[in-house]
Amino acid sequence: MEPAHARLLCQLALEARERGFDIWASAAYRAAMQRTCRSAPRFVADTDLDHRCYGLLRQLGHIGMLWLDGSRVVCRLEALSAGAPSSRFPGPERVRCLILVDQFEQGNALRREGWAVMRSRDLAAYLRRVPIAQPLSRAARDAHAEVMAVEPCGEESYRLTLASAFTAEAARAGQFLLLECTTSAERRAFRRAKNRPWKAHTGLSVDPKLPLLRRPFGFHRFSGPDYAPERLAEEPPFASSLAAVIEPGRGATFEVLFKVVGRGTRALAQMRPGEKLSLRAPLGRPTDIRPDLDSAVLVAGGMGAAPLFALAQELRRRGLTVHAVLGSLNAASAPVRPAEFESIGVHCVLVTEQEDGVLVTHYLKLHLRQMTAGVTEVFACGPTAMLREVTRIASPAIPVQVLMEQRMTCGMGVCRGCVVRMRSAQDAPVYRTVCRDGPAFRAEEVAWEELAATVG
Amino acid sequence: MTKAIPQPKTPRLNVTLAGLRLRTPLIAASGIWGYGEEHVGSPQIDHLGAFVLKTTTLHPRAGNPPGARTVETPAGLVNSIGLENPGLEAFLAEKLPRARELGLPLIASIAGATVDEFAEMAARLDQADGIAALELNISCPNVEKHGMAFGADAESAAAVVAACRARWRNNPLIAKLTPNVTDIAEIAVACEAAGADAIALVNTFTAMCIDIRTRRPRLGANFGGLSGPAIRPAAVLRVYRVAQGVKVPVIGMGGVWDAEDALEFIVAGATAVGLGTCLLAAPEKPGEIVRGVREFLRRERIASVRELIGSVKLNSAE
Repeated sequence: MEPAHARLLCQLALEARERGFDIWASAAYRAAMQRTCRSAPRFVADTDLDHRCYGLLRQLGHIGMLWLDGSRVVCRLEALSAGAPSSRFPGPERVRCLILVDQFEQGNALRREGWAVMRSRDLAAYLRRVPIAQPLSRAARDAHAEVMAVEPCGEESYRLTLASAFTAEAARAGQFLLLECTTSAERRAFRRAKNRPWKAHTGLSVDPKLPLLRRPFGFHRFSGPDYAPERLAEEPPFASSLAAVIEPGRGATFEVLFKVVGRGTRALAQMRPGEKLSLRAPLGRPTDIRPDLDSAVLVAGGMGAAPLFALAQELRRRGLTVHAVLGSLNAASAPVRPAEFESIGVHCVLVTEQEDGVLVTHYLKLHLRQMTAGVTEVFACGPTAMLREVTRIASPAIPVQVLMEQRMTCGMGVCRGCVVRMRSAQDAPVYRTVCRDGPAFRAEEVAWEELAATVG
Repeated sequence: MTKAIPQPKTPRLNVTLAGLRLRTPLIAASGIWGYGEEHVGSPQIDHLGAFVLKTTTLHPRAGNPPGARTVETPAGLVNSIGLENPGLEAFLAEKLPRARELGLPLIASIAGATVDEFAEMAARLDQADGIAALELNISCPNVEKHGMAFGADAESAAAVVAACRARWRNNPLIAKLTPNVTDIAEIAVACEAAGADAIALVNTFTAMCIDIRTRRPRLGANFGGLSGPAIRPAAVLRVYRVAQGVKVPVIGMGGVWDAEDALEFIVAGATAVGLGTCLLAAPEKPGEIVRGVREFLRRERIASVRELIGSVKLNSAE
């Protein structure tokens, strides 16, 4: 691979990503990349140039794989999913996905499948015609979602299926939404009571019985062709074959899981299908998935399994080997059943405190080695004490990311209500917000000793 | 020749606050929307008359330890963030330039541990560009007076205002008062005499929430301040009392949630109305309130919102 060419393609990929394209390359390249980069520890490559390439790749974040040694760029049309062949490159506003390939035959094969093909030297000019519209994480927006279903799952836990096309499409694994928790019947009843205030000013602007603020919920499950269990469960993972690469198709619905803990969640549990709820999403930083990852271990305590399921979907979509260890009090109270993880190709085990008599961290300590292969990372979500213990077991040999929870108000990092203390060299504490800097943090950055004192 | 049909005029919402021209009487209250960087370009900004930036202290402050920093209560929110902010240097270097992109009159808010700290910050901000007014958050504890809030007694409140007035020469100076006092009007009068051009009230009411199961306060810092619709009637009374006592304009706030609430403060005597907790619940509130106020004025055939300021008529006492 020529370093200069590799760098150019990295740059192009970054530019394309900033314009909201999804970018893919084959597993063959991924292997090549790992060979190049593994030659030195922590992915510092032999030459300075290659190292810079890797830096760019990391910035892209979303990329699973990228093919660098080629000179061809392939682009997929949204409208051509039916497969009508076209030799002409479409207007960039219609392009959703770029694939970088190096061989002429592969380009031709893709062209026959309905992809448009262009040379990489033309791509730069092409990309610059598109304004940078979407940052890497889409800006949060207020939207209305329709309740599709509310079903109990586990003890006092519910699964809420919502339909909102923008939210479903923009959300990434690890992000969350702020959801209004009043039913339309309650709002209607209150409006009636308040009826035409300038004629009969009741002075009531909010119903004191209803939740005042919106509540945060992590995305639990994405829907759509790319997230269908059959697709995610494929072995070898579908993403590894170039012909099967598709744009990340999302359906219009998504799910959140919640436990009834207060009046907001109680109201939510009583929702009927058809209710319209206002929400703000996507909020928070998408969980950082290193482009060079081979496998991942998910560790969940109780409701922590909810956001980890969305992460498992995303990891499987990128073709990674995923293990999950779920912890709960007993089998009945587990909010996500192991079978659900298994249906998307995740190797899953449920550890119950009452029936197995061990904690999830005990299991992890014994079996972590067997669950990891290649470049790996641990993602954990659950009670703070569990997160600290997981960090102690895995780190520093295996990097750990923890998805934290904290009482939240604004969801935008402005009110500074949901902070977590970070390690710092200075005496003055450094706080980061769960809602904007998180919810996922690198475990080595969290000041665990301080957290133990303040969080129950 | 066709006869011109008289068109009903759109009611005017603009007000003047101590020489500051506001296109609507709505002001984003301090702290809720931070330094505004997240809201540059938001359509809601067009419905605001001014933006009060988050309170800044001379040195960076990390705020209270985590644990819960906010707790929702019936129609209210108790918070104890602890004035987390990046300090005056970072404010001037990073936050202020970005806030200017909002295209709104900016009101800087400052808090100090001593009178000298207040004065020093006022002098530094006097040199900075793009600050339309300075708000003194005198609800913070006074280190020199055993941590009692500056705003808790007339003498220390006046001392802060006078010290800042001497160094903040050109633009309006606003004193933001705490409601946790016996006679808020007395403190407002003292601030006016010391040179304040406007009085803003109320800050949060001190509050506490206890989890009866664990017997522990719900807030990590034990105690906090209550805001939201729960405090509105208490805030309206204080705005009324202060407006009666001083000649300078008053910025009223405390639990405003819709147009009627905003108008209630204006009728009580406020020239402008601060929006706080409602912006957390629903960021689209400014637009909703502006539409509601305009609708009310049209129905009541009032040409300008200024006619309503302090228009309350008391019932005759027995």
